[in-house]
This record gives sequence, C-alpha cells and structure tokens, in this order.
Amino acid sequence: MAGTKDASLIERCRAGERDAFRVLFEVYGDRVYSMALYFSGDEASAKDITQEVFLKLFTKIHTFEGSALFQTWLYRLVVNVCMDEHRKHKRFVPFETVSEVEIMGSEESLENTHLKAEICSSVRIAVARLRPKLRLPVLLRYVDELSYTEIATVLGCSTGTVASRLNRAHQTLARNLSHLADRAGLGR
Amino acid sequence: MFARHVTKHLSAYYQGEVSDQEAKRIAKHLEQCPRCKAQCDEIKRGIILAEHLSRVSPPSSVWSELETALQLGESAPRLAERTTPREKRLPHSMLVPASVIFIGLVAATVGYFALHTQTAQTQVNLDKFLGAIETHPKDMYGLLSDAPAGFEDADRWTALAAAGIEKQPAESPLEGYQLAHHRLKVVDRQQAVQLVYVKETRVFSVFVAPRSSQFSFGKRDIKDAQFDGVACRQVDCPRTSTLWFGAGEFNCVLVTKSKDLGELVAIVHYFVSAHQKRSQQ
Repeated sequence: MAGTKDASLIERCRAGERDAFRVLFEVYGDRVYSMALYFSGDEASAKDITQEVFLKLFTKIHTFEGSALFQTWLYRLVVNVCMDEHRKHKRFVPFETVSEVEIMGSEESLENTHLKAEICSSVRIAVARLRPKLRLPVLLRYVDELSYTEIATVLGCSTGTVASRLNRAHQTLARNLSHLADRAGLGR
Repeated sequence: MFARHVTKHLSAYYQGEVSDQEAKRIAKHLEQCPRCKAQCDEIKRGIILAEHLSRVSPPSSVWSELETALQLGESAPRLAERTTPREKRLPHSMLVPASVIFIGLVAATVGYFALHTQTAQTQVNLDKFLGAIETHPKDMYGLLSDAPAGFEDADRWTALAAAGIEKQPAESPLEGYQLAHHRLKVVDRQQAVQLVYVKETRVFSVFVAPRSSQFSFGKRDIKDAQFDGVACRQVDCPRTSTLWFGAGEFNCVLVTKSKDLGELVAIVHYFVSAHQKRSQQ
C-alpha cells in the first residue's frame, strides 16, 4: 500500500471511522493471519493472534507518530504478539499440526498439485518447528516480502544478524526437508 | 593463503541483498572454494523451499468477532458519558428504591457464592495435585502415584467398572505398564476414579469422572488442542502433559511426565474407544 494511501487511511482510523478499520483489515489481514498461522502452527492460535493484533492496532493507532512506515509499526506489533503467545504456550506440547491449505492450481496436473500441496504442508510444519529467532525473519521475508533492512528494523537488530539468521533457517529447512529435494526437483 | 569464507553471506547473496562489489567477491570465491560451494547448494534449496510459503486469508469469523469486540469497546465510553459530575448525589426520592436494589444485589451475590461453593465441592479438584508436582518436580514418581484429597483405595473391578473400562482386553493403555493403584472418590453421589499405571520408574495417572462432574484445575491456563482426531484440552502444568478429554458418558484427565506423542495418543485412544463402545451399547 502506498505511503500516502496509508496516511489517509490511518487518519480515518484515528477519527474512529469503522469503514476505515475494515479497509485496514482487508489490506493487512492476510499478512497478519499468515504470519500468525505459520508462527504458531495452529489455526486457533492464529485467529487469537490476529484478533489481538488488530484490536491493539485499533486502540493504539493514536500512538503511531508517523516517523516510521506504518507497515514497520504493524509488523513489530505482530512480532510482539506472536512472541507473547509463544511465551504463554511454550510449556504446551505442540500437538497440533498445521492443517492443509487448499492449493489452487487449475492449470497444473493432478500429480503436480498433490506434490505442491505436500511440499507446502511440509514447509509449513518445518517452519513452525524452527526456533522463534529463526522463524520470524523467515516469515517476514517470505510472507511479508520485507527486505533485510526492513526485517532488521522490525526486529530491532542489524542486517548482519538478519542475514545470519536467515542463513541458518535456510540450512535447517534444507536439511529437515531433504527427503523432498529429489521429488521437488531441487537437486543436491 | 586462506580466503575469507562467504558462507554467512550466501542467503543475502542469492536474495540480492548485498552490494555489487560484495556480490562479485562472493561469486569469485565460490568458483574456488569447494566448502562454500557445498553450502551454497544447501542454502539455495532452503530458499526454494521457503518460497512455498504463501499468504492465507483469515476465516470470516475473525473480522466479525473483531467487529463485535470493537462495538463492545465503543459502548463503554457512551455509558460513562451519561454519568455527569452533577449526578454524583442521588435525589432524596430515589434513596428508598436504591437501597432496595442494593440489598437485592448483596443477597444475589451471597447466594451466587454459596451456590458456587456448593458446586465447587462437587467438582473433581486437581489443583493441589498438580500444584504438588509443580512444587516438587523431582519427586514426580511419588506425586503422580499419590491420591488427591478424597480418593481412597478401592476394589480393582469396582474402579474399572466406574471408569467404564472393565471390558478393555488390555490391562493398560501402554505395553509394559501395570495398573498399580485404583481409587475412588464419591462426588455428588457419583464416582470419580483415579487409575495409576506404573512401569519400573515411570508412572502416569488417569482420572475418570462422569460427564456431569466437572474437573477443576485452579487458575491454570487451558488450551484447546486436537490430535489424531480427538479433541482435548491441554492444561498448563510445567513438566507434565496434562490432557483433559472425553467420550460418551465420561470425561478424563491424563497426567504424565511423558511428552511422547505416540504414548499420549495411545492412552487417550484406550479410554475414548472404551467409552465410545459403552455409549453405543
């Protein structure tokens, strides 16, 4: 969303316009929910995290000063809520696996569609099992499409740290999902 | 002469997050260094795999529940606005009905707590049982075998029948475990059961009560969970897996040190299948 559009929408939210809240949710809801889903690994927690993020956003939007990009402010909120949820539940055994998400592949063969679904499911589970320090940069990069610099701003660390964590995350994913390498044509 | 290895920069390199100068240095190094070359293939595979993450839309209930929460938040300030500083003192004519309302509220509150206390006594309260484990985690064998208040040793057959598992072919949900203790507690004219299974130094406890009886866990967090098709609730007790689940006429609580998913599934299925069969009879 362009900066000026963000600014106008935020002003309308500050003024208490319910429609503006709805638009904000429609624009950012997918990103927030996806991050919550892949971070927590289960839909119930993802719903809770998403609702908490937007409730906090709506009640605290008056504190957004405009000195940073709105997106950065929003993603920091998402990261904080995800970590709070993680700390609250880290004594729970992660029983639940992430449920299947429908892969839309109308042009592809059935076999490719199934293979893609299997890879997506395995990747989601593998990402959910990464340590939070590695999981967050992965999600900010691949779900929210942030640059290393933007990720560093959200997480409050250096770009070198982001690069290092993403490096380790990529290696862990490759090792844990090596069984998919041949089938997915990823090569060795 | 050792060149500076580039493994730490490989993700940034492949994702276009390094300067042109740095990219040239890395490319040249990769041509000459087999160690870094081997790692770069692994990094590339990791990147390709991570690219399979795609955005997911939230269910429609997320917004509708948010909207409800926002509306509730909005109604509170309006309520406050109606009470102005001028209205702090009630007019004389309102004193009698106000006092009647006040006495009524007090009576209702006392009645509520009396009822609540009475209801709490009919619950199977595992708060202290779990609390003891939290306080002395090193003595889990002893504590998991202990009887919570009110549970007394009972005849094996009576306990199994009260737990609805008297027809189970296997003595125990897990191989090698034996049923070491079987206890009963009468709760509001119904029986709650504690079954303690032991194998060498390992032990787990399963509490079974009729559906009409409630388990209580003090102020512990409870999280909904589902695994292997069985809906259950996970109770927050450190160093244990404490699962609350039910089927048919019974609800059960499993308390174990084990975090082995296979074992937990086996125990839950043992009780759920017995209770389902019973409800179908």
